[in-house]
Amino acid sequence: MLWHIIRKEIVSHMLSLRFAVAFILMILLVFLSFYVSVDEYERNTSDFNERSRTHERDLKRILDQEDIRSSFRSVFDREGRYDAIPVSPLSWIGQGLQPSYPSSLNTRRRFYTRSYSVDTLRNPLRGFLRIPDFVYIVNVVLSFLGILFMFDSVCGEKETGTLRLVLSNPIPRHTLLLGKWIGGYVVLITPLLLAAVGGLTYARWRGGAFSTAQTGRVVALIAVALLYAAVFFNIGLAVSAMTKRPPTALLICLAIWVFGILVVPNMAPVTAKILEPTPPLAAIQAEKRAVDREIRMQSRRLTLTSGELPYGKSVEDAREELELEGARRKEQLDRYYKDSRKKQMNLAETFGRLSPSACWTYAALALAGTGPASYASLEEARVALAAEFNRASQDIERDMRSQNSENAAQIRFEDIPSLQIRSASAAEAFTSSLNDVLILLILCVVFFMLAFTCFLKYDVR
Amino acid sequence: MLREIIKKEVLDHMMGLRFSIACVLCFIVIVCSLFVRQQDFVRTVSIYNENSSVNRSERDQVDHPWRLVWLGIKLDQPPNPLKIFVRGIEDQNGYSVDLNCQQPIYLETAEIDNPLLPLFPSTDLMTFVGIIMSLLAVIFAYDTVSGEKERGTLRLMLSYSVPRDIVLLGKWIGGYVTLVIPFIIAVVAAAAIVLAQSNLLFTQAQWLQFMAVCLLSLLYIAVVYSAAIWISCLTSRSSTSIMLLVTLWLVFVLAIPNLSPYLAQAWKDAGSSQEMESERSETARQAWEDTVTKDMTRYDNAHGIDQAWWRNLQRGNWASEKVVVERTVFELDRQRSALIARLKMYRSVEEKYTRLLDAQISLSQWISRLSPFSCYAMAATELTDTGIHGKRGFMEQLEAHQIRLCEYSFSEWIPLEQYRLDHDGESPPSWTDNRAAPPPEFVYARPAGSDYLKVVAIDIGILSGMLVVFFMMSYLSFLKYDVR
Repeated sequence: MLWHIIRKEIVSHMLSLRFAVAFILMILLVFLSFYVSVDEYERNTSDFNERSRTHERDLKRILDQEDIRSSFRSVFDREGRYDAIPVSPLSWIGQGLQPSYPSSLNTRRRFYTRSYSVDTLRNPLRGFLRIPDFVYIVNVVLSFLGILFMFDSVCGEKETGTLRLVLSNPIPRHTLLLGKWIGGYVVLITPLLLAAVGGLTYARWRGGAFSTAQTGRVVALIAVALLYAAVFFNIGLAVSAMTKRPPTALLICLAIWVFGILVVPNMAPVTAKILEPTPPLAAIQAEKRAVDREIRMQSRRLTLTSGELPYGKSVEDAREELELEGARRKEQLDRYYKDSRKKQMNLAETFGRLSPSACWTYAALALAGTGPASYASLEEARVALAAEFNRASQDIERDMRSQNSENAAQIRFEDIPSLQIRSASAAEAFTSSLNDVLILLILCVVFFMLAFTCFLKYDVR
Repeated sequence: MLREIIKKEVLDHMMGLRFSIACVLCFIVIVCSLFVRQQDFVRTVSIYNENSSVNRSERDQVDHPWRLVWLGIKLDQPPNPLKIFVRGIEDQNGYSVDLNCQQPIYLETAEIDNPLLPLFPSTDLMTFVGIIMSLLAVIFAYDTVSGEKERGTLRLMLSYSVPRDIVLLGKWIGGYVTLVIPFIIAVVAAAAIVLAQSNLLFTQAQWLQFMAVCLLSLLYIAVVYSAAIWISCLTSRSSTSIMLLVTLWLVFVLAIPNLSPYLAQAWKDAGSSQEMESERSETARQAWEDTVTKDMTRYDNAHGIDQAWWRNLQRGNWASEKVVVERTVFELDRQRSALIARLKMYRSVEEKYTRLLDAQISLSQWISRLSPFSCYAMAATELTDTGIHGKRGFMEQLEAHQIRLCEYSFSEWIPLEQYRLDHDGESPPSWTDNRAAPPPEFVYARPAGSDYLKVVAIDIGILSGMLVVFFMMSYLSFLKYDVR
């Protein structure tokens, strides 16, 4: 019996206008989105390669100077080291925060890093609207189609009178609902899967973008997309089982969709920003400068009061201690700033999870490795590099001092630490997306149960 | 007659569910999001004030002009209050810049304090109108004709002596009025809140710009509304018409505008930034060599200054140091012209590359102009000085200021060396307290929206054209409409 209902649903959906629309839309948009985002990915990768080559060449040019002291000063104090920020390997499926990464990072001694963004020659209109990558298409178009497929599944049949007819036969209501669900869902996801397979083949064919190592993540991402589609599908079903006329159902569905996709997620970060404000960066920097001034004063006083030679061993030690103290205090300020930022971010994430759209985005970006977690790991790498860089400068300086300046060897390229961004493994990505996947799953079940209870009481006359 | 139809339409809509949904959406979203954006803006202003006072005091404490030349100063762009209403092509408010006399200018983006913000930018008036209001317009209009046919009232109405044009016009006006009333009320309320809440002073010109954006929004809503009525006249069942409309809406509002810059980028290459960078640094090196290195070699040869001379130089002995200072004065003069030539060269190289980019930008604009949303958004951003031209204008003013800074720094530096020559090696008094002139202030002259009227004329023209065409088409289709 179930089988017959499913077949009827599939056939009647396939014959409808909306299937044609969904099919064309999905194929066209998903393919276009893969087309532009693979192109963007390749552009970003070649930019990155070129940039890192330039940075390496510049650094080597400095190291090749004859005078070791001046090259030391250039590398560690004046120019510093430049590292290009790599492109996430899956950013062609979901760009996420990638566009707001800096293009390069400049590191100098004394915990100094600074970001550079050189994209003077990129189309400025890019930043204007969201990038239509796969994550975006699923977020907006798939959810929309899910609602469109289901809003009249119950009330529409009531209007045409077929529901009465079907239920006059010995068919339990749950079987009918399940049949409707399965039939509609299969029809909805077929175009998505076809389009996704086509797009992935294209990405594979273009080469570079899609490597076999990422298959697991991509498959998981598509599975989450199916789950996400099911949530909106069930919302449509539930609304349909609660209303009597299809136009009313459509209106309610569209209102829910607008709130869920366009309003709630976009309000979340800004609301968190107001509820949990972070101290302004400028204030933190001013505090840090104050620490610097104080340490400088103290160390000057040290030489004045000790009565020793300004370069004596004990004075040197005391000065070093003071500098360490300063670094520690500055680090504390940084940590305070970072903590308050983190608090704000968590709040924003929690707010956003009120809507399935944000859950999908977080889960998908966690799988693609371009979400907030990867931003955090970039931040971590930056801090680690600053520390490493300091340590390396001290080591090299000690070597330089111990050697005779005339026959000092050149600084080796390998001795200068470089940016090491730890990318999450596939297993870690799965775990970090699990939260949001669970929320989606719960929403999915809740809305289905809602639809079921409403349908049981539904007045089919 | 027209009046009766309008009245009937207005009442009809007002009783319906969609009117309440429109009211709720408009009020909640517009008022909340503008309030939130305004709060955010107040924060931005306070950060800007803090930053600029720090930057100013750092600039005033600089102890020697060479720092201005080689290390430079920091500048912040004053935030634009109109960003509360229109997000613009970049979400962040204002750039900060490191300006010195040797490097090209890079607009730095402020540090992101919340990485989720770029993922979910807050809804501004432009996005609200562009996306949500257009969806509401579609919902208001989809069954204007086909719905009445289904209910049979259209047949009834036209059996009276009412001309079809009056019916259509009445329906158009009635629906449009009910659609925009909640919008207008919500915008007025939000503007009042923004005005009451903030001590930020909107200038009169900015209020005018805001009004212009509101009028533009009404035009855009009218375009979408007419398009929806046209589709409703083309179809005989309202379910078909809504299906077609939401699909078209999805494509024209959520897909084409987002896709267009990337399509343009894939089809038209604009050269890479790296290429431009290396060409720029090559020309810079060339300029330096031509003016400074060569002339200094000539000078050294003429004055017998070589390696051995430097080694024998006695520091502290004015007689020999005087030669060095004289040489420095000459060198500084050469450096000044070299740096200024270099800054100009940076610009000419950049212009060469931006010409390619401009071609790409205009391609993407023309692709996106298929969608009324893009026309609306581009016009709105340019009108509020948050678009491409606004960014370019800021850049040009910075470049002019850079040259001013360069000239100023050398005009302060050379007299310092001259002082030593005139006073037998005596060091000049502290420069910080004895400047000949204060350093040049950077005053950003924000262009008024009216400067961009020529730029936005195309988009406004296209929107008006669309309005007329859609209305005419719906009139034609309605004349032939089978009301049975």
